[in-house]
Amino acid sequence: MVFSSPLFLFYFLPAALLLYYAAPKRAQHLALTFVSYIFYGWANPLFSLLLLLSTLIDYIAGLVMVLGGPRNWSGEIHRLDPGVPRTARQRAALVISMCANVALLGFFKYFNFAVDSYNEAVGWLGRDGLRLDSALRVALPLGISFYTFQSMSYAIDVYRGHATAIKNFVDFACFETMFPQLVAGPIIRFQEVADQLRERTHTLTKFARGVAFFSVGLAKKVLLANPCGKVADLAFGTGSPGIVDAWYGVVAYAFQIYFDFSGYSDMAIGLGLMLGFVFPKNFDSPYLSQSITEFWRRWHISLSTWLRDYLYLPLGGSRKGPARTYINLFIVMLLGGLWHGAALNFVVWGGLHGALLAFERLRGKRSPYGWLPAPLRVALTFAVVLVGWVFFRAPDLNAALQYLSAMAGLSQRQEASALIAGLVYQPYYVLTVAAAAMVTWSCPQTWDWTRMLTSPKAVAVLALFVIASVALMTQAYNPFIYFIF
Amino acid sequence: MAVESLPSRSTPSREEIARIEVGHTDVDPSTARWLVAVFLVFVSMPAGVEWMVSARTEAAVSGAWSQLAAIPGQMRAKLTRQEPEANDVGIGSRILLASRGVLGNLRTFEDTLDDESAVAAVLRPPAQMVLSGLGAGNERVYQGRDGWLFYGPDVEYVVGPRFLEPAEMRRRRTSGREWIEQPQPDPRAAIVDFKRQLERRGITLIVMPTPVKPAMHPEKLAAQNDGWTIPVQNSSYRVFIDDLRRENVIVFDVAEALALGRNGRPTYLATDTHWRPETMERAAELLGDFIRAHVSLVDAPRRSYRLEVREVSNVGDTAAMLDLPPGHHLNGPESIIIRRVLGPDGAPWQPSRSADVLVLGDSFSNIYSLGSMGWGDVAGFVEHLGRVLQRSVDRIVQNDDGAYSTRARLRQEIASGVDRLRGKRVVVLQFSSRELAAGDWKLIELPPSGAQ
Repeated sequence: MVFSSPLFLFYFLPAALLLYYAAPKRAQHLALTFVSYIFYGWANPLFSLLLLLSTLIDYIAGLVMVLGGPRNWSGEIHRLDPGVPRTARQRAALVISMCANVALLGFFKYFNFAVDSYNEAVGWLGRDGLRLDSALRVALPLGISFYTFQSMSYAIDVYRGHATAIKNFVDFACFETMFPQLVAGPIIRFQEVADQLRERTHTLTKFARGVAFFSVGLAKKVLLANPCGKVADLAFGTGSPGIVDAWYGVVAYAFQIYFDFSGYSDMAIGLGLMLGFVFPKNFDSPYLSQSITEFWRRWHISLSTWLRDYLYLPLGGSRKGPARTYINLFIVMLLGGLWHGAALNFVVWGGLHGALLAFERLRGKRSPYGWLPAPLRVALTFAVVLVGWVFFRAPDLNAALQYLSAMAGLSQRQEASALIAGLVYQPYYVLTVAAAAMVTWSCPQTWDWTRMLTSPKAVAVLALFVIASVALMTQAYNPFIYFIF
Repeated sequence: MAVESLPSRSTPSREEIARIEVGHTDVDPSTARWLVAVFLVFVSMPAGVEWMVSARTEAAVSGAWSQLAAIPGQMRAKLTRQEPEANDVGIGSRILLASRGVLGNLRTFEDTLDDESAVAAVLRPPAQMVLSGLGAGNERVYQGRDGWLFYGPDVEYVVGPRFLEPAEMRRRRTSGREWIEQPQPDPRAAIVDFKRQLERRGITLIVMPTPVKPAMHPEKLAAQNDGWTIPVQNSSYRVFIDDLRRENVIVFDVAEALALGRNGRPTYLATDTHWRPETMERAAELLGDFIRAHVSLVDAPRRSYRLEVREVSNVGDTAAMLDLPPGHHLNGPESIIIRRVLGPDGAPWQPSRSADVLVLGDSFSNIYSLGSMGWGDVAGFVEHLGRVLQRSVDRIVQNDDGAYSTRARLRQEIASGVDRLRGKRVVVLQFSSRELAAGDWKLIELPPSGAQ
């Protein structure tokens, strides 16, 4: 089930809101958890069991860290003191939680990649008899990259003494599974919502702002991301388009991924507000960045801060000298790339950004073109990001390199690629890409635009919702890009 | 593990900033009230309307909900071995079977809800009209020049990735849904296997990939293709043909001959996926010549046919897929002339199971033959092939899934005691070339002759 589907908009959402608000206050988390499991299980009922397993492991780990053995679980919960060394039991609980989550993520996400890489390696060595062609193919559970990271953040924050463990299993399950952000983020750290799980307000103002966020997000996804995606699919599908088509295609993809993901985040934030939760901003106009360093402060903020706090800083961050800093940046981004997908092109994407971050760090977090006027810095940063997106979008490394050759005008255009000109330059797609550009570089962010909800703006919000919903009826199944992670 | 110390947080955290920000939302209470109220009405109304419509008409929407209602019973049947496929497997496999069944039901429910929605039926045509005015088409149809429409998978086959690229085949193999079998993406394996099975029975296989419309009319997609006379195929197409020929499979590649014979005239219908009747007849003539050149058919009494000319008007399938309001210019019917194949006594042409030529065909064989397609009857590809060969011809024809559906039906009939291969000297496997990139090329084992 996706947010941008008639099933979610007109059946699940009203039913979920009704159930939530009809439930007595003490049962609201149970109601939310229940509908969240239905939402998640819609993709595959068996995946719900996996989610439940992950939830149980971290719930128990949290209690063990704070209270010790089960005999003590009736006791009162206190936050661990950050300055006090941890016991062996507490360390073991953290290690078990981390290993379980990493194992789940590693197995389901990377098993197929490992088998394929092994087969390629033995093929390259001429030992085809050792191939594992009949090996199990593992289906990727929806949102596993997100909820395992979310789970790990709970265990780590409790261990560090930055958050108080939760005793109530329903409350914890609600944090782990709440449907607004379950399958594609934002990655919610427990300390971000712990207070809200205990006490939060449900006001008309919050709900109204939630409606605004949700409607803008839906419009971004349906009216901008999906049509841009069509252009990108055609351009990348030919493999070797003409130079203009290649640039047009990757620009369309840049808009697709931005509006798809930021649209989803807006919808998640909006749904959270409708349920009384406040989730932090996940995108901060990333294509206005003037350097790659700045880009990563503005793009998928919940992931980049997670990687900073739970990977970069434990590796030493910038505290162990410049050389180690650059290595840490590179490693973190490499793993960040791998998090996005089990394929070499994602690793290259991550490595590219890691190398650029390290290079800019060497220059005091400034881009090599920092001396240019701001608009040119923005344009060049966008161009660099576009090159990275080629690796992200192409089906594999070879295809990515072929597409980059096309962008440079170095490859021979395939005859079939001449056909796409008649499709991607239709007024609808040209206007949509132009609108996407305008929204990206001229319009205020959703957070800013929805801060003051005047009557005309409220009308505009509802109009966006209606137009997007009607447009949805002409589109087939349109999952969010980040669902595949 | 030592407790990691983080930098001190003198600045507010992101969540604190967000809460402060939300706390500063500036909205008049009455505006907030009606905004929320109208939104809730908008999200609740469609379900209410659907329920009222289905209650009045017992329409398919109630059928959609019956898919959900059937889930518990089906799960129980699979878990307790009440269904044949669950009989001989352990609990783990039964759980997987039950899960797949549930998934299939959920997807059917969702699809039925969307397809049969009364609200969507009202809103989709005007929305599509706006989009079509901007050249958008929809998920299944691309809009070309001069009112020409192209079926999406046809375009995506031509312009898409090489279908024989190992990475592409691997992607297709693993992209299937969990509740259905993974597709077999390599057409060569299935065709070579089929050829060998037929060979063992002394039957010659002729493979006839039928070109899709964008391959034959690229100029109707983009102006820079004006004057193009060679069919545009997927980059793997030539490799596919060469690989088959290397395996001694006889391939009848009709695309170039059809393109050369165009003389500036359209060879495909403007708003339908398929070829025009004169193109289809030309293909039948070329195939007839090809069969005579490559297969020794036994002498048979010559059959003579006469032709009855008829004009037919119809709205093309791609125009119908756009779901535009009635009267829209892209929805207008096209008129064509078909030539119905009749016996000397005026009786319509009929296939003959005793014929020594069998055609396994898809909608390209069915159009102008199957009346329900709306383009007339008894004037199709197999009829005209029979006329050209002047002998009776047998056929198994099925729209869609040309990669495997007719071979599957052939197997089914042989297994049920009707040996459709008895007496056959040649089998023509006709399929749309888009099946090469999108079809499920299952390997199908034919039962031995006389199997029950």
